[in-house]
Amino acid sequence: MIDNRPGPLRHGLQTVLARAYPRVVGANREPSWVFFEVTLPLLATVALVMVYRALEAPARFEGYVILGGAMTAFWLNTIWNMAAQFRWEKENGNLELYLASPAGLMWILTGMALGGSFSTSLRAAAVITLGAVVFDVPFVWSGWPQALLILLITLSALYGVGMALSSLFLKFGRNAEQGISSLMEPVFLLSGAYFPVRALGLGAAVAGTLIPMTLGMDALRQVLLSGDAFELLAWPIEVLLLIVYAVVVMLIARWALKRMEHAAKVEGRLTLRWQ
Amino acid sequence: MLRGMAAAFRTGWAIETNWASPLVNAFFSLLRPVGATLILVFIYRVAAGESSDPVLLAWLIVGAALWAYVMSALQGISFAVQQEREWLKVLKYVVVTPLPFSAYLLARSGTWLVWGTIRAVFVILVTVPVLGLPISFGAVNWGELVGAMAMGLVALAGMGMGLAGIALGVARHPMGVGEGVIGVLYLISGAIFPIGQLPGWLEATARVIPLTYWLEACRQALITGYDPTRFGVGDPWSPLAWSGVIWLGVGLWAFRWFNHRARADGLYDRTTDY
Amino acid sequence: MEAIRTEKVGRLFKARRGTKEVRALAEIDLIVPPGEIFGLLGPNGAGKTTLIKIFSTLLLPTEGKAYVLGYDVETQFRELRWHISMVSGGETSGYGLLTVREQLWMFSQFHGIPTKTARRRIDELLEVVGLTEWADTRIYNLSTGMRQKMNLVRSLLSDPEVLFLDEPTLGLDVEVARDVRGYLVEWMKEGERTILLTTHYMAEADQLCDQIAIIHLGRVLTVGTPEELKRQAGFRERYRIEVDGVADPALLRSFGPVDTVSMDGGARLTVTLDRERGSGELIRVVGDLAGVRSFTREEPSLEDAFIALTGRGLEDLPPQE
Repeated sequence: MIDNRPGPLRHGLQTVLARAYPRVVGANREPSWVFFEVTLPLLATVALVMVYRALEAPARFEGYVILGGAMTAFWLNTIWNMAAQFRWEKENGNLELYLASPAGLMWILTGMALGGSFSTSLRAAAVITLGAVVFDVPFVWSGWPQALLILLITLSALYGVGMALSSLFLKFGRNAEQGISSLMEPVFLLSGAYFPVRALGLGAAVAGTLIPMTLGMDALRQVLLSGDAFELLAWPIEVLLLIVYAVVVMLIARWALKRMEHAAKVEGRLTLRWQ
Repeated sequence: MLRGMAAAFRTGWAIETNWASPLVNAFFSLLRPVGATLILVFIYRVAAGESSDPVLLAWLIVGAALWAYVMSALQGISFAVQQEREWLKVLKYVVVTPLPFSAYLLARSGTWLVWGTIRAVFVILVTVPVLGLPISFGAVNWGELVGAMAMGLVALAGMGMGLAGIALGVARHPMGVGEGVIGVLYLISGAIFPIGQLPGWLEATARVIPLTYWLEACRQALITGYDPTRFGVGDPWSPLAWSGVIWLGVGLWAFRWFNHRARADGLYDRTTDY
Repeated sequence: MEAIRTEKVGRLFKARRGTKEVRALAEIDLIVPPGEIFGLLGPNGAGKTTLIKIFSTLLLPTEGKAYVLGYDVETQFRELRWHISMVSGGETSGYGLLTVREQLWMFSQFHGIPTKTARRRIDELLEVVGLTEWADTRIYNLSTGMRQKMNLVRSLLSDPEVLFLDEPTLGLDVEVARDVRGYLVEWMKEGERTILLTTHYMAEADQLCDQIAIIHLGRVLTVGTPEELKRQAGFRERYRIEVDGVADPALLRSFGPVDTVSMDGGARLTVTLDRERGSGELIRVVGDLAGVRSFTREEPSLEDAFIALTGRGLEDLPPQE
């Protein structure tokens, strides 16, 4: 055995950086992702902006779509580059190597998220730039420092959700993938990704706050778009709720990953492929 | 060849559906198109406010409903390539069989036709009574509808094959390929907003896409009281026919070319996940 | 302390939608002493991989207990993972776009190895397995043999106390398989290490293993050194002797150490002895009787022993249902 075993935090950071590495390196070695994962999805966002224009809605509504397009990029990163990744790692044979090593699963997931954030941030930045430059969305630029804080806290909560969901992928494999994939648009609907969530009615809007993106987007709209009469709660309250959410969901994720790994070992699913 | 294609179709169907019971499978399969439709409904409500334009809403809903075919076809075919190559690792074994690879892919992902139909029909059946849309099944021009669907779906199949070819040549982004192309088409085919809203050069592009005319022809057939001059597409029939044939040919040619490149560069068993 | 110890370990895979219940392991009592290469020999479906998965903390036993280096695989798996490593045959893990060096570095970090140390060990190990010139090659460009060598290096980076090798030479050509086996033998000499090796290549088990457990239908049939297994099966060393004159087999049988004698064509004898040492006396006796033209010793193979112990060859054993 190698001497001088590192402390848990150092080992965790080693794991995070190591797992983020292939994401960043891979992105640079196959630059086609810039076109397919950034440029082209931008167009779906543009389509929804054009819907508002066709309906002759005020300009700030286009801002909803732009901010929604940016945030949904992070949601997709959470689901497909993080939560679902263990299922694909299992198919490749990497999962068993991760599990047989002393590296913790949460650190590995964090590495995946961090590595994926590189391309996701680029996608989100492209959407925001498009909104500001091409569609002349009236962003309140003085709100950007608060917006970055809101974004970071929302991402913490989002990635916590991703970790919790990864435990489902670990146990249920393809079933989880099908289920989560089917929930894409319903999540965008309930979180008010492209319209104020209050339009759903108060009950549905409150239910939508179970998705961290809902509060995050509502807060972002308040600080970045003026004249927003559709806010759910004041944004400082939403930020506080997101912090609590992030802590709770990380704890749930830790518990869930342990339980699901154990359950998968009992049932013999950890190395079962094509499930 | 038919036997092989039937087996490929059954494989694709099993892969897509055997993760749950048929009812659960159907429920989850309908969530996405219903969610996407509801997003548009709420965008409409928020933007339109108190004013009401049922024909416009029906126009939106029909576009969203039929888009289920486009999503299923383009995502399904490109995803099949990634799935078979990177995860199931059987692509190379399929390629070396006597069954033409294009026939295999078409059949393997052929469930898109079934699921597209189920989703589109479900969305329309639910939204008509709930939202009071001006679609009356007694007033539908079924002949036009069937003709439009046949031509449109053939064009879509051709596009899907072209996309499958691209999927063979890119890294882990076959899904990104599918989503990206769907995003482009969403923008320029008049699915959820009139093509007249686009800048001139994009509108010109929209006019060579068969999906633009397919959607228009279906709307004309379905919506009661539909004014064909309102949304700026014009007569859809002959453009649908010629653009459909062209795109079918382009798609099949593109697939052939990329398939040849895959053989030249040894891409059938290349894993590129990261 | 034993490297591996099991107490009536069993594994039952319960029936699920579309599958039957499968008894993969039953009442496995096994002790692997430290410092040995211990083989698990058996046909496909015997339970070898299931057992390795239990030891490498990927699967839980449904009955009994298993301990690796004294750690309970069920409750102390997190600590155990610092001390073990594994390689499977036909492994396709890794990220195609990374180079060999990058892939190895990534896994070294999961084992908490400082980057400087990791880089040094990677270079050393790549040189040992002959992959230095491929170190900056992307993994999807490697041949199967190179990939397996890379996987072996990966497993050795953390210098594990117990190494699990699940059919490590599966699919490799003769030369690469020989290199892999040769390296494993050398590696064992460098410290107190243990290897648990599963294989259905008899010759590999015979060559490498200090002890072998023959496993079939989830049960251990017998455990012993290759020699013990051959003796258990009733095998002795066999000698083929070509003689100049005529040798009377009956006369030879009266010679003490001789167990069996058969004659083939009048000039060729096949003799087995009932003890390990006696070949010198045999040559002298046969030489006195008939003159020796050639004298060849044939060792019984492990396959012979396996057939004798199980009643049939590996290929002939019915698959586990």
